[in-house]
Amino acid sequence: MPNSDKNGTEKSHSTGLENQQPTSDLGARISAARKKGGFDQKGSQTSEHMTTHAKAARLGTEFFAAIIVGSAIGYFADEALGTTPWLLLVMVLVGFAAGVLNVVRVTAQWNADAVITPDMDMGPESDDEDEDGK
Amino acid sequence: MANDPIKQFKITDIFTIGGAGEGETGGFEIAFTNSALFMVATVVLISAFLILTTRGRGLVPGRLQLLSEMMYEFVANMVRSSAGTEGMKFFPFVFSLFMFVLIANMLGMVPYFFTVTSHIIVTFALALLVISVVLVYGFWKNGLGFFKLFAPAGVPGYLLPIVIPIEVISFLSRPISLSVRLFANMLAGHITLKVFAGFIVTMGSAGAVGAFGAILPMFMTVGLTALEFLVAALQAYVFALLTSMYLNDAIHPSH
Repeated sequence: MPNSDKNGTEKSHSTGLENQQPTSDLGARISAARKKGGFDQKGSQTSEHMTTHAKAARLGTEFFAAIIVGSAIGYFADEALGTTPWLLLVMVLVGFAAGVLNVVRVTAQWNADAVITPDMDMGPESDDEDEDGK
Repeated sequence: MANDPIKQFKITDIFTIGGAGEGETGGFEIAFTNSALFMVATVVLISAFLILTTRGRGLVPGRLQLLSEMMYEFVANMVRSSAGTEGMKFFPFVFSLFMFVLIANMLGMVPYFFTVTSHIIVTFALALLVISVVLVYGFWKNGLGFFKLFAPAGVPGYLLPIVIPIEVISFLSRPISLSVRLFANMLAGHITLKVFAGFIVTMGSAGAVGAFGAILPMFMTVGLTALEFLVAALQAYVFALLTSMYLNDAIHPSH
């Protein structure tokens, strides 16, 4: 059985590839076809896959989730210790700080991932003239 | 009302096990809801698709096998780039999450189907699963060194009492933001779609001028449907991407 199997596959190989080009240059042909089809432009950077909509949604939830968590911790700690409302006030502020930290971390990640191309507007250059010509 | 935009999220029981009275499940009612039905449908669809398309195991893949392999490669590249090759031991976990969220979102786009991910309890359960894996693996691999995650290197000692609570809250906010983002995107998108589709019916029944004016919300609905497909795929991607980034923290706790 194994023998006949082998013969079978070999036969199909020889019949299938008779009038095909050899596979030794297959890699070069694939890369040429990819270049022709424009498939090589895909960026590996994560931020390139994300639209502005997704970025905005991410920043918003990162910020507000930290405040929710901080307030919840403060509220329940107050309930347990009977210190209403002091821990809630403190933890809302700590949660706010954590939210800012989250947002800064996410944007720093995006900035690190971003690919800067020459046509991007990165703000005024140091030798750019001011609007009033000074 | 047929065009009540909230009604599409209503949970209904299909059948129940147990309930009131004695017996093996006495006192507990286990309900098989429409949400559970679509979760089962999602899992069955994914399993059937992956098993059937890769059954041939062709060295040169066919179209459908290529689709399965592309999904594998997409998630594998994502895990490798954000959690390193060490993170690949979590590949089955991330791939399951990605496929579940993706297919559940896509099934929700079919008219009259239920959107599983539009309920925060479902997305929160998924996010808790992620954060539990991060915690358990982080402590198992790094021991108490996992706490270094909350004290970034280079922070002077007198600042630690301020920095540590902030870092802890920042860590605890991850499951919240992960689940709220997915849930809010799906809920808001489906409500918007339903509201604009409702405008067409309301305006269309208000005479010739109204029927002419109904063209505007019609175009809006078509555009929103396309946008919702984008959001459905994108949110699955974001969920899986953040999962692998959090797993990276468990593998390498120092920032």
